[in-house]
Amino acid sequence: MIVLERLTKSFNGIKVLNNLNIRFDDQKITVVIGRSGGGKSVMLKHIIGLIRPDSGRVLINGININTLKKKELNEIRKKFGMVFQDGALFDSINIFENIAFPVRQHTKLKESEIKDRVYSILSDVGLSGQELKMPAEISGGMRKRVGVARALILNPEIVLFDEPTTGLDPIMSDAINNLIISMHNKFKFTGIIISHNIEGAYKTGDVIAMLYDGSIIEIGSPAEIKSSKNPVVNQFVTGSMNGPINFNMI
Amino acid sequence: MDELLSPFEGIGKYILKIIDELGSLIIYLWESVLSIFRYSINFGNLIDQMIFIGMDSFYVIGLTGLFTGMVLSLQAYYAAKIVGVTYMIGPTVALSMTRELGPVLTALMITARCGSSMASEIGTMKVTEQIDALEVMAVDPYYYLSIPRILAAMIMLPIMTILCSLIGIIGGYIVYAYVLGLNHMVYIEKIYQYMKLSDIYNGLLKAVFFGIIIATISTFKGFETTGGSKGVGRFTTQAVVLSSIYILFADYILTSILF
Amino acid sequence: MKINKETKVGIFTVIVLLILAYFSFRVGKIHIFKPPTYTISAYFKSANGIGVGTTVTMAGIKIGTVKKIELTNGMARVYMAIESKYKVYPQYVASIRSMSLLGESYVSISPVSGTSVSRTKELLNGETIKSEISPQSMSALIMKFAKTADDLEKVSRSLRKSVGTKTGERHIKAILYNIAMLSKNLNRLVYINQRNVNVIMSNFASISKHINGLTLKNDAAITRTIHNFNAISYNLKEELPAITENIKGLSQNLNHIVAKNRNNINESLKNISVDTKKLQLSLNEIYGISSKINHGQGTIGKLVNRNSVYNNLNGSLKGINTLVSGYSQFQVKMNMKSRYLARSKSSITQVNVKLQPSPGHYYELGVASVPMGYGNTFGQTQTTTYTTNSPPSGEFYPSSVTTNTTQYTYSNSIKFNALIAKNFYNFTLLAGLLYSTGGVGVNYYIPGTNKNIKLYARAFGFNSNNGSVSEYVNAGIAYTFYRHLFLDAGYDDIFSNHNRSIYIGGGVKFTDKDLKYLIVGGKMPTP
Repeated sequence: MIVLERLTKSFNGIKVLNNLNIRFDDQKITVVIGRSGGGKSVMLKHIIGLIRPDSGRVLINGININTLKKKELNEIRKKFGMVFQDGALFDSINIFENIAFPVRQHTKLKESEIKDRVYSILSDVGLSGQELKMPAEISGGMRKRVGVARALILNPEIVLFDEPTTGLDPIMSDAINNLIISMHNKFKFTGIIISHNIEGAYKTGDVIAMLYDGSIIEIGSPAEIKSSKNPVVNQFVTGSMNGPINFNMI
Repeated sequence: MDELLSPFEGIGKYILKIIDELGSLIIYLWESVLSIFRYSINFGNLIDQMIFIGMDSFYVIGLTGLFTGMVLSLQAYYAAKIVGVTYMIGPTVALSMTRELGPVLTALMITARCGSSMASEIGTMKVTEQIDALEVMAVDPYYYLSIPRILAAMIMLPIMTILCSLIGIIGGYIVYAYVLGLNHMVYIEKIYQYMKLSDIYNGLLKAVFFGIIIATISTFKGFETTGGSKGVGRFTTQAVVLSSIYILFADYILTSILF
Repeated sequence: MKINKETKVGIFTVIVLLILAYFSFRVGKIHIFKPPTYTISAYFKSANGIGVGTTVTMAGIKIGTVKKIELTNGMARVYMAIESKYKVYPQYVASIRSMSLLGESYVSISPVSGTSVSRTKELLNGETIKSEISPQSMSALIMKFAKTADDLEKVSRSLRKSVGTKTGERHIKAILYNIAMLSKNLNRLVYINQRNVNVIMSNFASISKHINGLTLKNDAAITRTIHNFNAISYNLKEELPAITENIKGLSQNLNHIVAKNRNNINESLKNISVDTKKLQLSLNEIYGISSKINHGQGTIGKLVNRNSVYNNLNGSLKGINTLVSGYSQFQVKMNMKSRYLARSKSSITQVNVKLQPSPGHYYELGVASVPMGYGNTFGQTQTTTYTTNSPPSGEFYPSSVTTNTTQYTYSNSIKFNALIAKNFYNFTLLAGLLYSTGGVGVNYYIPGTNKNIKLYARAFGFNSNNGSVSEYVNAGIAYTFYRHLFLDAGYDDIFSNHNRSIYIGGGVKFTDKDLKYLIVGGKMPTP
């Protein structure tokens, strides 16, 4: 279970997170929606310890990761997998090595075992036969799928998705959403997805939370969010120009 | 009153910026050194970097050394013939190369060739979140990226310096014997007569420091990179300029200590 | 066969390390395989100047080293390790010698002349060899020097007696004045006759033209003459051996004569002191002549005899005295440097000699070769005009004029430096002649660098006659990176918009200590 308590963070005097409280339940997928640049990625980076909060706590299974030393933090991080927005694949090594990278770093498996694992996850994400290509040679959708494969290879407890469908066509977005669902069914991880694609959120999320103005203003099942009375949530969900969300506020 | 004080404010800010940068550079180096003890050395990466800094730079270093030696020989002749001490050309070339020009020129060429590439490679990784990805995968980026580069530069710089100096001395020999037509035996004999072991080894010690400087500054600037592809270019330039300046500065300090 | 990355790095590193090891052994004079040696020893009255490791030579070739020195019965017993391939025989004699006046000592083993070597048994391990006193002991040489110096002093003392008196000084003053007048007159004479000189030059040009024509015409005759010359030189060559033989004989005779008359020569040296007394007499005579000239211009006579002038002279004599007493401080330095001017793609080369009587100040004299147009240097151009047709009547200008222009340009011009310099802390101020014009300069030595880094600025060209040239200012930095070698870079002619240029250069510098070592051929002193 991941708990964020009264999280506050500002960059250059601008408050990005303002007294944010949220709880992510185990083995469920929580989708955090919100406007672009609304602090979703910052929240995600707090969860994995890439950014330290100005105040507040990040508790992972009851451990406050902000007070940990580097080595202890790395132990916690081994429970995580993360899918980056653009994949963040290492472009000096090929697809196979990219997926095998966490395995090589953290396990002492034999080369044949590594091969078995990588081929198995490659077929799971539908990329069999592409393993010798370089990251620069494949499409955006494929990069995301390689990212998913790399995040899942060590069978982590928690998987973070940073805008997994952004920049993809609707068909590919749907394919990625289906991939997330099928992977979740297979590995039963705790999923945190940040997205501004509301349709995808309905489809993948067990819980949907709305991040607005640096804090969570609404949290609930997709059905609850759909019928929310909060004008901000309502405006975001319907995608309307008219409402309390001001365009000058970014 | 404010107008009067504003230049001082500027100076103060600039000084603080320099100190801040130097401080974070030293902290960075310390972190990197610590991570050697924290984890075992990544030999695959180390070998890759050694090939990149060493063998792949051979032609650049060789040509630099060759022409420097040749020019030194010619120039020394110009001055030496006035007093009739042309037999001193050999020691002049050899000592200049081993003590000063070998290490410095090698370091500057490696900065231009490899330092820039280190900074831009790590910088690109930074702006495309690859560094974050490493951290998320619980891999210390200093261990994975900095240490192999710093160690490789530390090991290969002296080796390339030996080659640079040797080729430079050979270049000087070619000019001495074939262009100036002087007695080639004298060239070699006088080098052995006037050169001391300390000349060679202090030069190599310098090269080790230069290697640390190049790799540390270049990788540090890579990690500092922000602002997309433009930022990569900007920080790469900073890495090369800063490395070159620190090399020359360290050269002076080391020369005054060692010799 | 495919070589993997690790092997590549390994091979490369090993090759380079082998190169390093090879040169380390060569430079460090480390020998892994020592040649087999055997030990012999010799007794010396004094082992002064030699120690363990001192070279042992025979006929100038190194055959071994000194292994050990010990005191035995008040004598120094010197053990020497000789390489087995060199043989030493009992007739051989060891002696301690010096490589040069100030060089290091070494042990020399040589056969005694006259004895045959081949029939005797060679010296074995542990045996003793005879020694002899080194033929030219250094202290003996120094004693000789001292004696010579004594004689010299006697001569100079009597010289001073004749010159150092008041009358003598007055005479010298008068002579100096006359010389000044003479040179002034000479100057005027040359000036007046400049036009004549030009005419002479043009005549000379026409003569050379004629000669040219003449040679063309007489080509055959000249060829013949050259042939004759050839024949003569051939004959000469034939007879040269005979001639040199004669010269040899002659010099031998001369030698004999000198040897016979050595006493006489000594006698004549003694007479020199008598002769110097006669010098005073001749000085009196010179004074008589100059005083006659002086009579015509009484005011100048007064000027010459003025007390202040005399006092000045006295002062400078005193200065010379202190100079002599401070001889030990006196230093001579020399530097040669070359500068490349980036803008004009030309270079300046100069040789300077620094005379430093005390640490506080020095004089710098030098010669510089500078490019055209540098400082106040311009090419000397001489134009000669021949008018072949006289102007026809009624026309103002000549109808036809043939003009021959001869232009003498020199790519480089020679200039002189003469500067007085005074040191203040880390600064040195200089003034005097710079590139043959008036100039001043300042040097700043960066503290803590052992005077190896110097910032400097020079301004010169103040009294240049050429109106179109203004003052030159340059500034730069010089860095001595190795004992005698320095690099130099800076900005030349900073205040001129069309002429300013970056320059780089370098050079060699020597102190009198180095020069001494260079001359006697010893090892360089280590700093």
